[in-house]
Amino acid sequence: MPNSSILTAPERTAGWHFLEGVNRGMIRLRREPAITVFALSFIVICLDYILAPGLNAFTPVLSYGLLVVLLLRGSPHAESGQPPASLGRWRVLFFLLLHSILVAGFLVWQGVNTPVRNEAALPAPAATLAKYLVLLPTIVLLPMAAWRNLNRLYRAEFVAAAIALLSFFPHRLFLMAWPWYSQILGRVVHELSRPFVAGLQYVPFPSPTLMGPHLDVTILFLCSGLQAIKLFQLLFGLILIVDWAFLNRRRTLAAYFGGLGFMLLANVLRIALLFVIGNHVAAGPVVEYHVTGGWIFFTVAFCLYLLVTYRWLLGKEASSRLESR
Amino acid sequence: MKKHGLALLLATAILAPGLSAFGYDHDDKDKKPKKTDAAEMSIIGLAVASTLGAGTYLAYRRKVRSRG
Repeated sequence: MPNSSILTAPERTAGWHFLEGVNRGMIRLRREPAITVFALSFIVICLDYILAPGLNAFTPVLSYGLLVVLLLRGSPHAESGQPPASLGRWRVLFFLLLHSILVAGFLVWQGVNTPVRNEAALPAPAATLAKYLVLLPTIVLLPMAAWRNLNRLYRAEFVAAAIALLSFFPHRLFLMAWPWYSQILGRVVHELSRPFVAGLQYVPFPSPTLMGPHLDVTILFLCSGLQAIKLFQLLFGLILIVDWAFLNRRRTLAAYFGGLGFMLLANVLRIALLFVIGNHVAAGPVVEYHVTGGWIFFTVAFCLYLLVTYRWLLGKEASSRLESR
Repeated sequence: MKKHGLALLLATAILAPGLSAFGYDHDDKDKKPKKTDAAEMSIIGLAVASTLGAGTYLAYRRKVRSRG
């Protein structure tokens, strides 16, 4: 590793910065128990996911991964006046034992159920329960007093991880809501398109269908806007990771939920535009390219949202800190 | 340099699973291009859109940083 006292600023390469960052991360990992605890939990839940994919641990992996990165990206808290809580050997062993019981229990259940009922996956309620169960052993890693202290120091990071856990990639939520959400979506698209397409007819069941003179559009689950939500969550996650130290936390929370709503509205507009363009300009290309066009449309929608909200998210103080770096 | 590296790494990580959807079916002797199904289209679309969005964000962030 190059000696920082010898190298001048222009000589510091990207590799040097990377090594410096890794070194800083390792120091914080040793000094701050929160980072150690969640890094350990992240690794073990990844192992759970590899050993027993049916445990539905993908969102916990994402959530803990995000939490570790945010803790590392945030300001150091080791000098907060509190002595760092140690990670006792017995606590770690108990934590590993709990995870082993969870994985072994699931594999036994799978072994019993797969030959009898040909079911390798958990039923929906049990899958949801399993998703949260894999998080629980983390609690035993530290005493309650240390958790209270960590909750005070890292509340924003915990809230961000909890929101990621509850809301990232909400496929099941969309499936549950689809029977009534599809009707709302169909009605809104119908109302938006009506002034532009003469002779428009709307058939709400079984799937909402708009019938025009040249093109009929049936709104299926794939048109629900879930793709737009996934794209927004991925890109918003990137903003969190890159800019966490500079973001105004309350505004970020508002912008996240505002962005989810914005992307759903963009989806409504996308379907209405497809219908109007298909009936006025060309039906063929709309049918052929509507999926690809949808992705471009969602990307443009995200970029617009970013342009409007980004400076507001940073706030004045953070903007000036960014400028000075 | 660091930012370009990050953007490249990110694009590769995101694009890799999407690009793997292209290619040929191993059983197909004629080696006709594989027909992309809805799930693969979804992965490719998400990969490309994320890369574009991430690139725009990083470029805009750079602009904000330089102008303040």
